[in-house]
Amino acid sequence: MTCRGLTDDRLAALQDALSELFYAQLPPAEVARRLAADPAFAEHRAWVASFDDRLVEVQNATVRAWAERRPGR
Amino acid sequence: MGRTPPRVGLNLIDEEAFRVAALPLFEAGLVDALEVDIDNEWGASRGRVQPRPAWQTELLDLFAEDDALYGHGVWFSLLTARLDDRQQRWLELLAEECGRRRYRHVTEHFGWMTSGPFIQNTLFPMPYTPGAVELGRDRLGLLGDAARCPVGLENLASALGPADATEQAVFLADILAPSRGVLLLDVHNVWTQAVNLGLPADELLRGYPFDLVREIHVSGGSWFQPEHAADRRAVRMDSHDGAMPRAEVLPLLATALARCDQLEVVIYERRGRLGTEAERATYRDDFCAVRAAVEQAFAEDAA
Repeated sequence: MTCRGLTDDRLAALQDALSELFYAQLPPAEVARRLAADPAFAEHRAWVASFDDRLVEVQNATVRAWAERRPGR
Repeated sequence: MGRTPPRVGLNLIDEEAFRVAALPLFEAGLVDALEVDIDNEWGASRGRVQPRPAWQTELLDLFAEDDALYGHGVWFSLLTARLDDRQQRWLELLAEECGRRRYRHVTEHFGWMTSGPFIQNTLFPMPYTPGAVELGRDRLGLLGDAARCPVGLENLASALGPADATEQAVFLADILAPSRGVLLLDVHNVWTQAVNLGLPADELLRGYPFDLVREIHVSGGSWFQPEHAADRRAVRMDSHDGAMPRAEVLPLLATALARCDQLEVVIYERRGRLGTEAERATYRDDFCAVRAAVEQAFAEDAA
């Protein structure tokens, strides 16, 4: 099947970085530190700066339950 | 002239406990419509089709013949910014399924779960930007091309910060309005975001574009206890594994019912923890409470 659909490389980079960050299962304070410092989130600094610690912890827990990496990546 | 009352139905769960719990409702003729997680057979298994049991296919065929079948996607990952082969295969299988049975409409969850290194994940919210809106419109078009019936989106329950709740209604409207896409308004999801972020649920709800709402979801969930955050207040999860919090959710349902002129179906969705007769009775009572709320709202409308 021909690969259809719009691609947005900048949003894709944000998604890859967020996925990796939550997959690392870091404590909320460390997540906040990386969100504040990592250039991957620079375009969306206001959004990521508003993340709530409790909701970060829930996201960590659900990522733990659901995330599946591609083989070899 | 009063509005046409919506159908009231159930989300079909792929569990024997659901069949046992819901059978009396079907037998009593109380279930007007059926919603199915349309990608249950191929979503989690990455395109390897795992056939449904006969009791499910019979129900699907029955409701499809009555033009009362609704499809709900779980695994597409709508806002993934770079589609992968799994998602392309998902669209092919959606097209096959929609060619096999007639669906009134097909909806997917707002947000994304698939990204470069990850095949699947939990759902993530997306910042509200023009680029994300453009992406959403593009993906909605792909869904429509595959399904060849009306398609739409369900508001997300999860949030990482306040903007994911306060901007979601206009974000969804921006994506859906140009093509008159279906908004599936989940009132438990609205309440979940409100209670988790300390926002007024009724105000959050009133921001949604009610003219696009063709379906409402009502559900239950459970609580997560944080252990590492400084603030240890429990967090609500839209896990569908608990009874409906009636005192909180039914007033939101009433508000939505009064305002949705294009509404055609209200679906109660619940999974898991239906193993005891008491749990199954609560499930049926919750469905009947939803049905009563709908009947009351439209009786007032006709009066």
